Amino acid sequence: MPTTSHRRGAAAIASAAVLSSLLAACGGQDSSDGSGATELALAAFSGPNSLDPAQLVDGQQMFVWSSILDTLLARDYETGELIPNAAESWEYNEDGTELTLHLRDDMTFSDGDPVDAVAVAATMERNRTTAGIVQVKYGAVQSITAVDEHTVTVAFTHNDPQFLPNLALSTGAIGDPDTLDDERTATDPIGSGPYTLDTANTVPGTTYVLKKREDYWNADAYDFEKVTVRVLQDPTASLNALQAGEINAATVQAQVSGQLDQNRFALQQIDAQATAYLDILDRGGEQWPALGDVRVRQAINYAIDREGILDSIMAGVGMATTQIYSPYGEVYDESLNDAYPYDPDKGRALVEEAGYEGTVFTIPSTFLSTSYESVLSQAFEDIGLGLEWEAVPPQQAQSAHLSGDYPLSFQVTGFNSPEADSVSHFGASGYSNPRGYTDATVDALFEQINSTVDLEEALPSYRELNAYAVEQAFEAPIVFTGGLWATADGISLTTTGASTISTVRLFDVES
Amino acid sequence: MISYIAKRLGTGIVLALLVVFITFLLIGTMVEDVARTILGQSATPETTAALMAAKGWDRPVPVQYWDWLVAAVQGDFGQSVYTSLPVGPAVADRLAVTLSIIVPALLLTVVISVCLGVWSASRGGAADRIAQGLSLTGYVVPGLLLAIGLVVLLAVQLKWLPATGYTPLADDPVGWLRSITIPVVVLTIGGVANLTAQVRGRMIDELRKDYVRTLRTRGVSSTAIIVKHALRNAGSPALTVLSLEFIQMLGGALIIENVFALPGYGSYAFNAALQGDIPVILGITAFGVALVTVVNLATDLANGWLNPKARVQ
Repeated sequence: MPTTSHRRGAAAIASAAVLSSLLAACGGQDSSDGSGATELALAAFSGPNSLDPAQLVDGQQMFVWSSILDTLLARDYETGELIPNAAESWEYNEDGTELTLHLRDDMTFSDGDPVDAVAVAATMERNRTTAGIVQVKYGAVQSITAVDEHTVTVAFTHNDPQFLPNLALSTGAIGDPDTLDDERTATDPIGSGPYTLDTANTVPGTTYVLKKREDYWNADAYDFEKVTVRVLQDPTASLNALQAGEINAATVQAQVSGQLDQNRFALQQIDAQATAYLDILDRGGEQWPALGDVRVRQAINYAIDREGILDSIMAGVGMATTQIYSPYGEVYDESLNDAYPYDPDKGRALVEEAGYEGTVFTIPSTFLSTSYESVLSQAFEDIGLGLEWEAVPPQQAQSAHLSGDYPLSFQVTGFNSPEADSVSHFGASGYSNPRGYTDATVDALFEQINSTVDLEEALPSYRELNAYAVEQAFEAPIVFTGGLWATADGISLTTTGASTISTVRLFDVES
Repeated sequence: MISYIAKRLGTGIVLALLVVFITFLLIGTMVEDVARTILGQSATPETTAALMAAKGWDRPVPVQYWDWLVAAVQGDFGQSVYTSLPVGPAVADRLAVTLSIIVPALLLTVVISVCLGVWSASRGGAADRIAQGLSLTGYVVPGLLLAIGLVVLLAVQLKWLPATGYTPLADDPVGWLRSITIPVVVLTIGGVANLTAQVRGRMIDELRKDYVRTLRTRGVSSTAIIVKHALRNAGSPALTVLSLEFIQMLGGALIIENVFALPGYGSYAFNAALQGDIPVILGITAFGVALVTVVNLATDLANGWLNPKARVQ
């Protein structure tokens, strides 16, 4: 019969065995931050809502879905230009009502079936007719036809300048027509992208493991044999995972980036990924006459200390701006940033001249605005106006913005393309312009833009629109929000900001 | 006893139905917002209406509730409107992760708190001061700070344990143990701080009672008095605190889950609420109420076992 001391001894041995196996397991941990890495493990704020081509969401959700589903076009990470991908060339007819896409002839789905015009047309037709986030981008599409094995034509009711750049995003994703309507499409679709989803090691919403397809038509452009996307919403968790070697690429907060060992990690700053701006919703002054007066709108622009906000709130990661177009694009005009230097006295004088001093505006307080609220309230006070923030839950933020109940709204919007950004900010149906305000100049510029099929030819009109929007102060842009990427030794970022589309090609193995 | 359990479970089911119905009513006012959020910034009134019709959200709330209920009774809690994943298995998976940190934390909390509380109450003096000091420290140090500190030390510096992530027990028992160690330690420290004070206070009260003095005069050993009599009497209120601690841990799991990137119930509930993922919110509510009902019932039954006076006749 064992004595008490023997039992204790046995327990101690068992404990030691467990402890040693725990520590032994630590040694065996698969670290992915070594040089010459062929595995990319990156942190993303969000996993894909769905992998169904009709329900794809752009932004960081693209890391996963764009690896599985190929897109018709792509963006060059160095120049930001639209480049061929599944479609090797394209052309519009004269009035922009018909787009012809010429597909590559060497593409296959992961099940071996060829990717042809029928597949592309079937996916597009399904997107056009399926209720969901992609459908709205097919608003101007009248019909889609597979002309021959490798040619697709898209007919439009009118020229839609936004459609083509959207083909590098969810609008251009290609699904397998044989399984598009199967249940698996949302979670494990058959795609023609460079990777397949390793379902055995994937935990939806948490971890996505992707395995490279060697039979992908452009396999050489993808350096990583395996890609793991970890959904890490908490920046502290991201930083810890990075330091512990569990991931080898993540965005980090500038304030804590100093904690990273500079010998192990490279930091690369992208100065502009999105625009943070105070949206003036009632630009015509229908309900809030003060905002219909250009002097008040300009005064608001003078009141904002953009450089101060950049330093204090953004820790210097970003750029002060008075315009909404990407600084890496061709519409952006550096000289416009001198339009509204920080000058609250001038702002106050303009408000007094317009006769609206003491006017107080109610504005939705959302998860986006919280960091900026006190500084914006102070800016309004400085020019004799006032702001009252009204709490709005996240799922109602969009509805509040569009409701017509608020004169102003704080927004952070990512860059898309000059075409899409123009419509979104200044078009009569734009998200940032929910009251559909336009004037003769804006109408004339959009008429020119919409009747010009070639972007190069339309650029002067876009630039004019940009200058006019700044002069009229339709919005009060504050800063371009940037990002700080930390990559482990052996991995580098392929962009300096010209394109920040979230695909695996954003990274490569350092030579 | 069986009829008591059946009655309590029946009450729990009625409660769950009521809570879910109230949730349904509250959510019913925001379906249009949710549809707009799903469609993004390009949403138009037409596309929003089409999506609502496709999801069946344009029907009267009682009709939607009834349909949901009929399906839920058959084990079908619907699909997430964002991910299209079935809600029932997703909630069960998430709950399993959260319970796998809460249950070990509670067990450790009980063992440590009872030991510390009894030691403190029976020995007094320095032992009491040490136990109270430890308990107070547990109160004072914020769980989040403790979690980050332990991650930096054990995961980032020493690389003994993972900083983030969860390994299922079935996949790799050692990996599972490693992935839950720091979260369990953090939760345990907070739990011990609460429960030790309770056990200590109740034990001091019990040890001062007449029956203890009588037992001592009859020569019953101190260990027997503590284990067989005083601790049993002191156990009931501690058990109630423990059940509250469980519910508090379930509600507060979000912070721990976020710091350690654990795919648990708290973060799932938080994200569903942020996004307005209606089927997930309903599923989480139903599972949550069911769990709380079962825990309360188990507490009452355990109380009856500890204290015959509390038993249901």
